[in-house]
Amino acid sequence: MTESVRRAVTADERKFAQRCARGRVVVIDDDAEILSALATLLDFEGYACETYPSAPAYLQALSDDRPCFPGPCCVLCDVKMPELDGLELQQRLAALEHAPLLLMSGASGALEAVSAFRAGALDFLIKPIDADVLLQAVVKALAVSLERQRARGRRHDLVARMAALTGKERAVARLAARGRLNREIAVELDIALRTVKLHRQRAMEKLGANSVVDLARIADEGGL
Amino acid sequence: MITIDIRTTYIIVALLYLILPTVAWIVLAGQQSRAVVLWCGGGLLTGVGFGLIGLRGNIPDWVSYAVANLALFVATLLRAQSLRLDLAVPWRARWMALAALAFIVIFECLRHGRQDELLRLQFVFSVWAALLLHLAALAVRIGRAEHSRSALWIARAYLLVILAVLYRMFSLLAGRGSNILASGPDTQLLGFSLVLAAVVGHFGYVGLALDRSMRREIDAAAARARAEESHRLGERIAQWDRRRSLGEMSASLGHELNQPLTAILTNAQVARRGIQTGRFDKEQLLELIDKIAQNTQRASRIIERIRDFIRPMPVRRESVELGHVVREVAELVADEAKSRKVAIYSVLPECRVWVSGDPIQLSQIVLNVLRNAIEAVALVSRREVHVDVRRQDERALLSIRDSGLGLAPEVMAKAGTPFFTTKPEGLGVGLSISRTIAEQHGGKLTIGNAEDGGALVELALPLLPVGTEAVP
Repeated sequence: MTESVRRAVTADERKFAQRCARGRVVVIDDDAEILSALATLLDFEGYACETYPSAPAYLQALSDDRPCFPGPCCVLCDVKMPELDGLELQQRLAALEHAPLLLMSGASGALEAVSAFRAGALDFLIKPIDADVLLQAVVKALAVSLERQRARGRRHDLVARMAALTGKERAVARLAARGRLNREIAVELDIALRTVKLHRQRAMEKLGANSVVDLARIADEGGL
Repeated sequence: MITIDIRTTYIIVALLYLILPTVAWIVLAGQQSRAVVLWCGGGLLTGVGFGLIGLRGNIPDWVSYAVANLALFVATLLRAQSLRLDLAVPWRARWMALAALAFIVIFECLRHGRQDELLRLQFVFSVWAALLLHLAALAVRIGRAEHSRSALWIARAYLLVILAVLYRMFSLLAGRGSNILASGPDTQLLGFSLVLAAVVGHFGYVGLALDRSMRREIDAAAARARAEESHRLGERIAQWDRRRSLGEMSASLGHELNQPLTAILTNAQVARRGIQTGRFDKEQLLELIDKIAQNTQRASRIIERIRDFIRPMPVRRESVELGHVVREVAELVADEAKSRKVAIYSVLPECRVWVSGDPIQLSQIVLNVLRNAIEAVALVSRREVHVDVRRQDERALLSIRDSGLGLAPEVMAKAGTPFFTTKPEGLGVGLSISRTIAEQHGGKLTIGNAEDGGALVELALPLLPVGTEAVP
C-alpha cells in the first residue's frame, strides 16, 4: 500500500481501526442512493467503507496520501460514470499496483465485462447486486488484498535482510543457494574453507534460513 | 295570331324584374357576396327601367325616357360587373360612372338636339345589344370555367334578347314605327324574349350560385378531410419517431432504471439482515424503508416518463413550461449522455417561460435535437452540450449548442429535410418531424452553426401572454 500507517488514539478510532483490520472497501458510484445503500450494507457487515461520487474524487484522495489504519482493501466501482469510468480507473489503479478492483454495471455490457476481466478486475457484478454475491466478492477481494500485502511485506523484509549482508557473505550465500559445497565455494572465491563456513553461517542467520532449501527459496524471492 | 298589349308586356317584365331579383336575393341570403348584390341590384334596376318605359305617357317624359334608359344601361353594366367579379376581372367603378354619364349625355343630345328618334333608338338598341352580348360572353366564360349549365342558360336567354333587339333594329331601319310601344312581331318577340330572359336569367343565376356554394362545401369538406388525414398521419409519424428514439435509447434507459432498483434491493437486503440479527433499531429500519420507498418512486417516475413519451395520445393544446420540458428530456437522455461522457449544461430562466402546445411533441423536438448534439460531440474530445431557455422579443427561445465540429455547408443546406441523414443507420426523419412540429406550434426551428464552431439549433415559439398560463 502506498498509504502511510495511522495510529488509533480515541475509542472511536480504535473501533474504526478494527473495521479496517477486517477490511476497507472503497465504493465509487455517481448515484448517491446506491452509494448510501452499499455503504449501509458494508458498514453492517463490519467493514470500513469509504464512498466517492466519482473516480477522479478517489484518485484525488489517493494522491493526498492520508495515513490509514492497516488492513486489506478493495475497490468497488461502477463501470459507467461521467468523467472517468470504471474501466479507465482500473487502468490507472493497475499502474499504481493497488487494491483489487471489483466492477459493477447494469446488465448492458458483455463487452465491458470481457475487457474488465482482461484488464485484471477480480469480479464483475451485475446490478442490481444481491447482497450475498456482493459480500462474497468482497471477501474474496479482501483475501487477495491481504495476500498481496503479505507478499509485499515479505519482500520488504527480505530486501532489508539482504541489505544487512556484507559483500563476502552475499557472495557465499549466492553460491550456497545454487547448491555448491563449501569446498567448491572456497576454491571459487579463493578464500579459506573456515572463512566460507563462517560467512555462510552468518548469512543464514541474517536471512533467517534454516536449511539450504530455505536459502535457495529466499535467494529466489529476494533476487540474490 | 294573339297579340299582347306591348305596354302590358313591359309592365309584366318590370314586375318580374322586381320580384325575381328579390326572390333570388332571399334564396341566396346565405352567401351575400358583392357579385350577388350587384346582380340582384341590377335586376331591380332593370325592373325600374322597364316599369318607367311601360308607364310612358302617364309620367313625365324625362323620367320615362332619360331615367328609364339610364336605369337600363346602368342595370346591364352592374350585371356585367357582377359576372366580371366572379371571373376576377372587374371594371373600375370610375369608368363605369363615366360610361353611364357618356351614355346619358349622348342620349339626351339625340333626344333634344337632333330630334331624330330613329337614330336615338338605334343608338340605345346597339349599346344595349353590345352590353348584352358582353354579358352573354361572360356567362359563357363562367359556364365553361365552372362547368355550370346554369351559366350557359343565362347566356342563351340573353342571346335570345340580343336576337330580338337586332330584329327590332332591322325593322326600325326598314321603316317600321319608331314608337317603342308600337305593336308588331318585332316588339312582340322583344317582349317575349325579355320575359324569358327575366325568368331564365334569375333562375340560372340562383342555380349558378347554388352550384358554387355546393362545390365550395364539397371542396371545403375534401380539404378538411385531407388536412385531417395528413394531421393524423403526421401524429402517427411523430409517435413512431418517438418510439424509435426510445428504442435506440433502450440500453441506457434500462441502465437508468437499474439504478433505483439496485438501491432498493440492497436497502431491502440490509433491512432483512438487520431484522434477522436484531442489530438494527427502529430508527435505522425506518430510514431504510424510507429509502426503499423513495427509490421505488424514482423508478416509477422513470417508467412514467418513458410511457408518457410513447403513449399514443391525441395532440393536445395546453400551457407548457419550456424549462420543465428541458428538464424532463435531460433526465431522459442523462444516461446516454453519461455513457458517452457528454456533459449537458442547461441554463433555465428564473421566471418560467410558458408557451402553448403539446408537451410531448415539444419534448420530442428537444429529444431529437439533444440526441443529435450528444452524437455530434461524442466524436470530439471536448464533449459539452449547452441548453438555454429564455424570452426574447416576445418569443420563447430554446437554443441547443454543442461543442462538436458543426455542420458542413452542404449538410446545413439539407438538414431538416425529410429522409436526409448523415448517420449510417439514421432515417433522416427526426429533424424534419421536429421542424414540422415547430411550425404546427406557430414557431420555427433554425439549424445552423454557433460562432465558436459547434452546431446551434434554435427553437422559437410564440410566448404565451402573461396571466393566461394558468388556463390550459
